Amino acid sequence: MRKLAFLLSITFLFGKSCVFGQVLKFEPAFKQGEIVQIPIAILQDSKGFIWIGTTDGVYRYDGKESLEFRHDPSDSTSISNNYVKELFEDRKGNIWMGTSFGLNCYDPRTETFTRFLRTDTDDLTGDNFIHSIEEDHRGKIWYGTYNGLFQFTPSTDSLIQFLPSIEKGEKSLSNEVIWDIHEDQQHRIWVATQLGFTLFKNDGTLDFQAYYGDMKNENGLATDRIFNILEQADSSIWLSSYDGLFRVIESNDSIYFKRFHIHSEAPANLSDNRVFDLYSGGRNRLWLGTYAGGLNEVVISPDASENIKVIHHKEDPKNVFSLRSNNIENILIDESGMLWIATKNGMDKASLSGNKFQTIRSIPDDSTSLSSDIIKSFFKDSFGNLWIGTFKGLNFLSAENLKKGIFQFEQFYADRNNRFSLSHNNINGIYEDSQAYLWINTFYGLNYIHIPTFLKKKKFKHFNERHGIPHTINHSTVEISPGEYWVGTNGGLARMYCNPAKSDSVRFETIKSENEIVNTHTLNVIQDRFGNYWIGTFNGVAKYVTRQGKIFFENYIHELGNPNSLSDNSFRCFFRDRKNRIWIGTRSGLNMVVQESKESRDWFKTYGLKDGFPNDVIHAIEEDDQGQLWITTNKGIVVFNPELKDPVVATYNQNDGLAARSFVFRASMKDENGNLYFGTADGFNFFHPEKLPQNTYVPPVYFTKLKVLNEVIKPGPSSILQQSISYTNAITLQYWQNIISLEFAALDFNKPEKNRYQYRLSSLNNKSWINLKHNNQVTFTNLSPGEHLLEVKGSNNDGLWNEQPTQLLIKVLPPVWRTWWAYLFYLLAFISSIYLFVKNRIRRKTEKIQAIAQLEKARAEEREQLRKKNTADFHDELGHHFTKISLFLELAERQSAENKPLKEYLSKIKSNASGLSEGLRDLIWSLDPKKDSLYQTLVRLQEFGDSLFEFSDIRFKTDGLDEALESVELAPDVKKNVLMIFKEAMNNCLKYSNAKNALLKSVIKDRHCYVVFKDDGQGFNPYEIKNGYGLKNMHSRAQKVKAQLEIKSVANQGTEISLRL
Amino acid sequence: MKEIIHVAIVEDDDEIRQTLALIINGTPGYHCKHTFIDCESANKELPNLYVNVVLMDIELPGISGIDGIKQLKPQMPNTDFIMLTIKQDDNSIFDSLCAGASGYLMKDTPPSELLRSITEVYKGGSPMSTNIARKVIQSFQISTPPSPLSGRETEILQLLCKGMNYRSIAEQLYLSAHTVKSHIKNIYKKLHVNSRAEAVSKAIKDKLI
Repeated sequence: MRKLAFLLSITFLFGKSCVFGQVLKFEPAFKQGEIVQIPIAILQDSKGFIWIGTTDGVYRYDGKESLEFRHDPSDSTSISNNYVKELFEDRKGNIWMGTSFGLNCYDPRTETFTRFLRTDTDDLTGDNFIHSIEEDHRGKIWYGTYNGLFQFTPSTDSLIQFLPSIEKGEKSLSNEVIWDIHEDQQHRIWVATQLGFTLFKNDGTLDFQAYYGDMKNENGLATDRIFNILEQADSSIWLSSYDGLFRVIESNDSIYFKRFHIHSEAPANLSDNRVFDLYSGGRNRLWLGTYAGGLNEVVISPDASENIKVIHHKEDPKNVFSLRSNNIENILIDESGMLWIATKNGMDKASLSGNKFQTIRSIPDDSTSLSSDIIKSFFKDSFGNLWIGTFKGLNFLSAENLKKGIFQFEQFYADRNNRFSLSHNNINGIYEDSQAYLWINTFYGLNYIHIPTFLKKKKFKHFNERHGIPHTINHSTVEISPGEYWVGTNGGLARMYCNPAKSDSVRFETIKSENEIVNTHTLNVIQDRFGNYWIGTFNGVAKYVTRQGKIFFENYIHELGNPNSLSDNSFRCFFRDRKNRIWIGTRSGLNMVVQESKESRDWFKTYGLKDGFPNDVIHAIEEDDQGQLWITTNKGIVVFNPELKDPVVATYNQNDGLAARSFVFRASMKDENGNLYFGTADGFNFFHPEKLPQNTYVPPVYFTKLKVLNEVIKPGPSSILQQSISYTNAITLQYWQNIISLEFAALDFNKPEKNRYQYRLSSLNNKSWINLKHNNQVTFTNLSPGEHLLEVKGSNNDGLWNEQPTQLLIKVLPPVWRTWWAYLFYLLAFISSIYLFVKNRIRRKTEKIQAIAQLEKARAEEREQLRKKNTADFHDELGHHFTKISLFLELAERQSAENKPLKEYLSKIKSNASGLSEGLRDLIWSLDPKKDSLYQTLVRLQEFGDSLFEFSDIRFKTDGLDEALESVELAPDVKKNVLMIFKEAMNNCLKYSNAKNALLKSVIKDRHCYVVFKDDGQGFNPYEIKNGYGLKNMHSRAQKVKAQLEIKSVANQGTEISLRL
Repeated sequence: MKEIIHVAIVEDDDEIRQTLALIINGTPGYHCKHTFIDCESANKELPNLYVNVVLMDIELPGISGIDGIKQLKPQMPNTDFIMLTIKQDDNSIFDSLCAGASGYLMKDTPPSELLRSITEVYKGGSPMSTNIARKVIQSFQISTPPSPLSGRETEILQLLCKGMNYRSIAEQLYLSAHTVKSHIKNIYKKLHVNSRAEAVSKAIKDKLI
């Protein structure tokens, strides 16, 4: 027994799974209301989800929620039946599910099932009742039913059935009821059946070899019903059966078996031979689930077949952390090291990685264990010994043992027959004074011992009512000064004067104070940084102060409505932290004393449920080396840091391995190594805060649900999701789908409710991660059009984060009026409107300018006309005068017939006058804008010529006077000069040429207009002629209008005068 | 025996009228006994007188010369009207030709030339300048689609437009100058008719409207 305790203690101390296995703590895998059906199959898929097949549906569990799949007669993509016996994941990630009616293949991407049924009716042959599924190395699916083994090829949909054949005998399948199928590393298929098992090579030849149960052969298969086949990493094959566990040993082409079952002689053996499930626990470990014997943990010694050690894990009504049933259906160990047990009463789970906190309890009939589980006080004396006071007895652990970690106690009890025993078993407090005396407050009497000498004689001395102690029930002792102690008793705080080193005498005195202490039932005393003493009583707290030599008790009680008063009067414990602040734990809240000065009345800052405490009955307070307070409550431990905005750093409870749910007040201690001790009513926990084992599994994080406009989105062809949200990287939403929620899960199942989450959305300004704590859902509303990247991180229950975020790209399409082409349209519309506007303006401006120009033109024309009219009028005036001159001249001429000189003079006057008149007419003509063309000029010349040559011998003709020349515009001065030139030429011709013919013509040659006048007269020499012919004039006129004048004259061949314009 | 041409003058300027009458009358072969200061007085008396040629000033006060001809010509179909003008305004000249004039002269034309023109017109040849010819063609083209002009007349008009003188035209068309002149006279007559017709139709149109 002692050895066992020894071994067990080692386990507790180091908390590792040592050679001998460990005490497992089983707890329900699911919370109340979660999957309640009886689980018969478990699988963890490659993503990390846990699948549970039950008698009534199959579930996918992510730690918080489960996705339920049931048979739906109206949905052919639902599972074929609800009794899901077998779960298997193939290499493509599909989950094959064997039910009592049909094989199903679940595609997690589409979240749909494909059913494979042999017949469509509920058959009795058992073809569709599937017990086992396996995928071989070629991708073919093998499944076993009540009616044979089937090989299914998904790519070709071909199905082959194998049944036992009487002719072939053992060269065929051993039996048609198939319990398990396994392909080993050598590609052989093992088939466990109701009658032995069959082995064959899976290379196409199907060379069956059946092995039947053989009771007689010691090395044979001792039983028929083989339930499971397990291949270990070292290729060893194990079979579980109705009658024990078998190891398959192959040698020299023959197979024999090593059997493990219940033997009465064997030191460690199976608890039940009916082994329903077999699971590998690693290299040398197997886990067996039995029919009525609970769980067996089998440790195989490395040196092959001989020895195994078996640890039983059974249901124990007294142990709430035992299995809930001994009837085990299925076992799974997940990636994080959690053990899942499917039992007849539901699913349990247990952590294989050990509990955080080790518990030490009293072991019945073991006098080296604790005397009692109800731990009330701890004390480590100056010699390094640990004293533990319990409800029933004092325990002593020597410094040596404590150092070695050997929890072997010496128990001390009150013994009526022993005067020097403890006065009472119920230990309230333990205290060492400056003289190495240990004071032990008990329910009856104050005991004391001298530590160094105690162990030899083990004698206690004590004070009781005879010595004057105010009350025998005493709680604590404090040394005020050498020789003076204060003792807290149920009858008040007493001063004790004694010197045990010198004598046994003692004097008790009640404290004389000016006022009454709030309550006389004094529990504990502590000194603050000003040197005052605080006294915790049954009903309130008092501060002992001296003023002017008088003693006062400053009483503090809870004041209703005053948040700065003591949170509750039921004092539990005191604590002074490293910053010398006083903390007071009460039945209803933690108080921090705020002391402004020595004299001032203090007030309290309270903490409790409102700050995140799981419970605010504060039992004990200790401080770790980081300055964090470890506080025990009725619901576990709170790690508290008042400096933080979020003061609750962590909480621990029984699930983490704490001994009990509730603790005992003032049962706590911290030793010089930093270890914390907390006592409960069920043993004590001790640990080092910095060395608490953490969950080191980094959980994978997946999105598990997408809700748009509060509706769950299932994958489908016309859905937002093409595939399941867990497989989706990006989704596209319309602008009106503006409420979107996403759920996600970190797949660690240790304490999934403690898993934490953070998220970040790219489109928010804040680039830092937003803490969701334990909340695994985010909702967004009215995301703006564009792309938003959602990133989610998850952690396990110990805050180990998966730093690789899981991402989802959310694309929000803009409404039609906000799409890029709408904007383009706006832009174009804008541009075109501007363009039109500008164009319009330009046009109007142009029009305006044109109008102005036209107006100007009209005005100019008008002016011109006016001028012309004026000139014309002027001319008319002059014309009349000329007419009269001419007429009178005629008369005068007629009158002067005889007077020759007179007649001559008159004639001269007449010709000059007509010349003047002509000249004026020419002037008028030249100003007439209607006559501003070459044609008109030529016409005028023609008229002139006609009248000039009319009565002469010269025949005057014209040529080339085309109306088209009307379009050739000549400026007034040009046409005037042209007119002058040719008039001169014609005059010359008339006067000097003696020609017969004269021609005025116009030619267009080489884009130039030529006006030519020629005659066939006698010509002249251009170089000899002087001014008489007016040739110089003609040239200068030509020059004036930038025209080229050419005068050709050859003697007797005529003259040609041509002008090029 | 030389014929005597009876000339009447309608001119508002006293000195011009009187001097002109004096000159014409003083020239052998011409008679000028009747002068009028305006169309109104001319209108009353002229139709009753034996006159061959009337010299009519276009710019008359009151009824203009053009309107005067319109009134007088129908009453004196055998009398030739020659317009006298100071200006060289093609439009008014053309209008007067349409109204019934047979020719026009510049007032300050030397008297000898003036007399010669009178004789010419009396003898049947009315001069037509190029521009006038163009206007005539235009007029005939606008008014009635099938031109009342004969082919020869149109030809002559076109050649006139080309600035050819009578002599050249006569040469070109192998006609005598005289024939050309008489063609032109015909053209004038048709012009009168045409214009009259136009005026009538216009009046009808107006009246109708």
